[in-house]
Amino acid sequence: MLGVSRRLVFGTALALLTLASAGFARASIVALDAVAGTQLDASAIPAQLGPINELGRNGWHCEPEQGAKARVAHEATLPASDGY
Amino acid sequence: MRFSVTCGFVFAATVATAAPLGLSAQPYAGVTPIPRTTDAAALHALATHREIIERIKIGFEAEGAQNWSQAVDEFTRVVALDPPEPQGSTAYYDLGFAHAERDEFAAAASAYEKAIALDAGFLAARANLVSVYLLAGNVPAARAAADAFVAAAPDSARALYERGITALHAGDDATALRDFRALSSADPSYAVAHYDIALAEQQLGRFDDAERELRAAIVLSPHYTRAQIALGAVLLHEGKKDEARLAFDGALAGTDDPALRNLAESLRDAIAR
Repeated sequence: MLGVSRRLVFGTALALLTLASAGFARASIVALDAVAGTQLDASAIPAQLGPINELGRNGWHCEPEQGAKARVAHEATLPASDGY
Repeated sequence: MRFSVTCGFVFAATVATAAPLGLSAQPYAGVTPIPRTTDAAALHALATHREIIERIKIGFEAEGAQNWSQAVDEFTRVVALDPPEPQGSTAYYDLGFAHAERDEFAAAASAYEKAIALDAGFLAARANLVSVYLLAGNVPAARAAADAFVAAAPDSARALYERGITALHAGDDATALRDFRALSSADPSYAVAHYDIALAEQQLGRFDDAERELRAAIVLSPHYTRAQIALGAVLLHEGKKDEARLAFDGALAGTDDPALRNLAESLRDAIAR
């Protein structure tokens, strides 16, 4: 009787462990799939170019207009990378 | 006689003072003559012009002091006066700027559109228009504005960046790839362009190209946390778990931003499980 109970307990524990392992493995696969499929955000929307005075955009060193015209990224007031 | 002598003295003094000045370069324009009139319409026009100039100055200073409501009030008054160019497009531009700073994106977009209607070559207004449409979540309008910006300034880094970002938001990965590659060609040291190229490559299923671009971004900018996280995700997709874990560790080491740290940590822990 005692032997039967021990076998039953052992069998039940084994079954539960198997089920738990399968569930854990499945959860792990789901988690990795989620990670691999992570949709990453595009880089930031650029901050607005600044205000312009009463002289308008032409005829002086208008920084916002210069920024909009610049051919290289580092002169165009675009988002930075460090720390983001 | 006394009058003549006085005038002569003044004239001589003026010539003596002006002569040395005439020898040096004088970069400033001469003094604008003060308009003299008794005509009511002309006086009204002069007063209006003066009000336009003074209100733009006050509004500009208010924007410098981040007093957005005063700036909106001043520029709203200026545009109601129907100013000539360049003050008209300038006032609408500054009005758009102040609205955007108050998160009033629809009003900002409307003001920028009016600035561009008055001055089609106003690139700063075109640039800001794309930004406010994106901030408002209006991707189709941002796309149209970005296309017009690139058409007006095909070599502008900002135009290429803004259309590239808009294309990524719209799911047009081919356009994003083209614009960010052009941006990167003009300025290969700009790490963000490599990051966005990688996102487009990833969307197109070219993970090895995405990995190469992300590694280039990280070489240029070692503390570029988003690029580290993106690299980890790409490596994981390629089945390179150990390298992915290193990338997420690199992301954690490179930032104090709680949101980015939390993201990198949860992704790394998902691998460990």
